[in-house]
Amino acid sequence: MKEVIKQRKVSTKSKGTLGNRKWQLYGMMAIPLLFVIVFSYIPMFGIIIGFKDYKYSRGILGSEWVGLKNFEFMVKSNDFWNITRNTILLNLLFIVVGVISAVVVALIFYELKSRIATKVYQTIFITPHFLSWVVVAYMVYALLSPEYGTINKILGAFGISQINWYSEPKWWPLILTITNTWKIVGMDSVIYYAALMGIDSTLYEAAEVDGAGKLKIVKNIILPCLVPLIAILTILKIGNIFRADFGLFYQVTRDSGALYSVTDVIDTYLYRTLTVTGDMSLSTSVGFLQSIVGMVLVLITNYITRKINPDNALF
Amino acid sequence: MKKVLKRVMSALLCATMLAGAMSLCACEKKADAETLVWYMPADANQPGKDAVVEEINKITQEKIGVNIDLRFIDESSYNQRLEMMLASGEEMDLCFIGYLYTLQNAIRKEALTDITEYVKNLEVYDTIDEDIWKSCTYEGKLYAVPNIQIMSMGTAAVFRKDMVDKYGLDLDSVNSYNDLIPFFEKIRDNEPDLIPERAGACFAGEFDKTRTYDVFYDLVRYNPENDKVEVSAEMPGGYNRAVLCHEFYQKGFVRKDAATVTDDTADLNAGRYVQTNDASKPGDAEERTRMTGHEYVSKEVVPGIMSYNTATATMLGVPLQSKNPEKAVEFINLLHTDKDLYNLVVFGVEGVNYKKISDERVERIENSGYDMKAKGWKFGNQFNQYLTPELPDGIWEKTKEINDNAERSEILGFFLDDSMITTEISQCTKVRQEYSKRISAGVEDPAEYYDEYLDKLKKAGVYTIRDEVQRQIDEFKKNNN
Repeated sequence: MKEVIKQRKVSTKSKGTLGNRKWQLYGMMAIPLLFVIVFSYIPMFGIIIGFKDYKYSRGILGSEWVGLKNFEFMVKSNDFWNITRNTILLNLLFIVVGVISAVVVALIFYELKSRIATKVYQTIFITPHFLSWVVVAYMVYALLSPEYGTINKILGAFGISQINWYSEPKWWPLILTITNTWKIVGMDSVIYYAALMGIDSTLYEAAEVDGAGKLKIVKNIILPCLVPLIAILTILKIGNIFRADFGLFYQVTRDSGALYSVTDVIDTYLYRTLTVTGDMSLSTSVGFLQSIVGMVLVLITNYITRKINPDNALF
Repeated sequence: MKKVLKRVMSALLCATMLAGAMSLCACEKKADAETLVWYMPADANQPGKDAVVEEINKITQEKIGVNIDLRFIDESSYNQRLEMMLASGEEMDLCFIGYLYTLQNAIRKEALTDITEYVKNLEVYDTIDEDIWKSCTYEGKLYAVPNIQIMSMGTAAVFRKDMVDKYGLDLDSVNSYNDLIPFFEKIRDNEPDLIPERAGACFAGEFDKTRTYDVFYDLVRYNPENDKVEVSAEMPGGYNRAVLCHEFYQKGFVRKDAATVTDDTADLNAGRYVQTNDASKPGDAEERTRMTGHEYVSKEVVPGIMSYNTATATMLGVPLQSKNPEKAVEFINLLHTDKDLYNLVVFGVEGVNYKKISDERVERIENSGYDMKAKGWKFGNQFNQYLTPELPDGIWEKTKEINDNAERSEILGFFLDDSMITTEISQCTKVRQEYSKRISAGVEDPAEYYDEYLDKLKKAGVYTIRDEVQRQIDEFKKNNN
C-alpha cells in the first residue's frame, strides 16, 4: 500500500500540472473534514463532564472538578467486569461467526451461475440489513414470547415444557449470535462477493486443467485472495469491539433484567446509567472509558496483524 | 476568468452554508418571551389540545399577560424526556415534578429555579398546609409548588365490579392477598380475556403497611415504629412480596409476559386487569371507572399517612432555563385559584369537550379530542374540579377532611442532603432497577436470586446510604424537639 502511495506522490510531482490544482483537492476534502471536526472533534469537549460533578445550573465549565471519582464508580461497580466480558466475548463470537458465514454465503453466490437466481438470493439476504432493530426485536419476540411465541407453541405441541426465554440467560449468546448474523450476513457477503468477482479467472482455469476439485480451488486460490480483505474488515470490526450494537442488546433482549448477566454490554450499561440515574457525569465517564479501551484494542490488533503480515495492516 | 468564477462560486457556497446554519440558530430563539412553555405527563395524542390552549391563553393574557404553550409527554417516557430537556436547557418554563421525576432528584442536579420570593407574595402560599411547604423546602428555599389534592395516600385494592358481583367476592373480608386467591382462581378459569392481577407496574405489591413509610430513592425507608432507617429490600415485606409475585405467576394470576412488557397502560385502560392497587383516596375507584369504561369498586387495604413522599408526589416546578420565572409562578398561582382556568385545563372547552349539567357537575363528550383522563390532580388545586357523573357529592370536602386529620410522618419537613452519597445512590439505583422488574414479574423463584440481590445492594453501598440517612434524621429530630 505504502509503496503505491509513494509512487503516486512521485508521479504527481513529476507531472507538475496536478500540483497547481492541489487546492481543489484540499477544497473537496474540506467538506468531509469540516463534518468530522464539527461532529466528532468539537463534541469531544464534552468529555470534561466526565471529570466534573455536573450541575445543570452551573453549566459544563462552571461545575466542580472531581477528578477521577466518576471513573471509580465504573471500576468499583460490580458490573464492570461482567459487562466488559460480555461486550468482548459476544463481539468476538459475532465477528468469527459473521466472517465465516459471510465468506460461505459469498462463495455460494459465486457458484450460482444463473444471474436471476443470484439477484433473488442476494435481495433476500440483504433485506434484513434494512430492518431497524426495533422491528427485528418484535420478530424475535413473536418467536420467543412466553405466552404466544411460535417456538413455545411448537414445544407445547410436542409436549415439551415451555421455556421462558426472556428469563433464561443461558440461551442468549446463541439467540443473539443467530439474530446478528441473520441481519448482517447479506451485506458483508456482498463485499466478499465483489472481491471474488475480481479474482483473475485464468487462475481457476489453470487449476481446473491441473485437475483441482472445487474444495482445492477454494482452499488454494480463493481463500488466499480473500485474506487481505478479511483482515482489513476484521480489524475494522475489532476496533468497534467495545462498541456493542445497542439495538441488538437493548431491543432484542427487551431490556430484561434477568438476562443482564450475559447480555448487558457497555452500551446498554451506559444507556441505563443515564436513564436510571440521570447522571450525566457518570455516563460521560463510562463512554470515555469505552472509547479508550476501543482505541487500545485497535492498536493491539493492528500491531499483531503487522507482525504477521505487514501488507494486511491498516496503518 | 474561469478561476475567478470558481472562487466566487465556492465563496458563495460557504456563505449560503453559513447563512443556513445561522438561520437554524435564529429559529430556535424565535419564541416569544411572553409565552410560557408548560410540560405535563399526559396522553400525547390529543388533537383537540390547540383549541383548549387558545381558550387558556384568553384567560392568561387577560390576567397575567402571558401565553401558555401546553405540551404533553406520555407518562411512560416523561422521566427520561424531562431529564434530557433539563440537561440540555431546552426551552421550558413549567414542568411537572413529583412521582415521575422527584423533587429530590431535581434539586440534586440544581435543575430548578429558586421561587421562594415569588411564591410568598401570592395567594397560593396561604392555601397550602405549613407542613407540606416544609416538606418541599430545601435549605430554606422553595423550588416547586405542590398541587392540592389528597396528601395522605394509603393503598387501595381496586376491583372490577362486574367480576366482584359475578363471583361473589365479599370486599369486607379482604385483608390480605390470601383472601383473594379463590376469587382469582375463578377468574383465571372462567374469564380467558381478563387478567386477575396487575403485575410489573408501579403499584403492584402486597398489602404491606411499610409501603407508606417515608422512602428515600426507593432504597431505604424510615420505620417510625423503631425509629430506624432500614433497607427496603431487607424488610420482611420485600422478600415476602417477591415470594407472592412468584406464587401468582405460577398460579397464572398475572400476565406471563410481565417481565418483557414495557408499557401496559393500554391493557390497564381497557380494563383487562380485574384487580390493581392504587393510591387510596375518595373517588379512587371512580377514577379507574372513568379511565377504563368499566365500573370499579375499591377497598382501602393500607391506611395512609402524610409523608415526605405524598407531600411531594405531585407539584409544578420552574426549570432553571425559564426566562420568566416570576410569570411562571403567577401562572401556577392562577391554576390554584382560578376555577375556570383549572377546569378548562382538566376538561377542555365547554360545549366542545364537556357539557355542564349543573353548577358543579359536568359530563364529558366522548372522543372530543381532549381528555386528561381524570388526572386533575396533576396540577393546581383539585378541590376546584367539577364533578363528573361517577364522582360522589362532597368528595372534595371529604378529601380535605382526610388531609387535615391525616396521621403525619414524624419527619415531615426533613429534607435529605445527599451530596455525600450520590455515587452510592446511583449504584444502588441501578441494582434495584435490575431486579425490581424481575421481582414484580415473578417468573423466577426468589429463593434463587434474592440473596444475590441483597449482596449486590450491599456491595453498591446501600448501608452507607442507610447510615447517612439515619444520621441526618437523628440530627433533624434533635433540632426539632
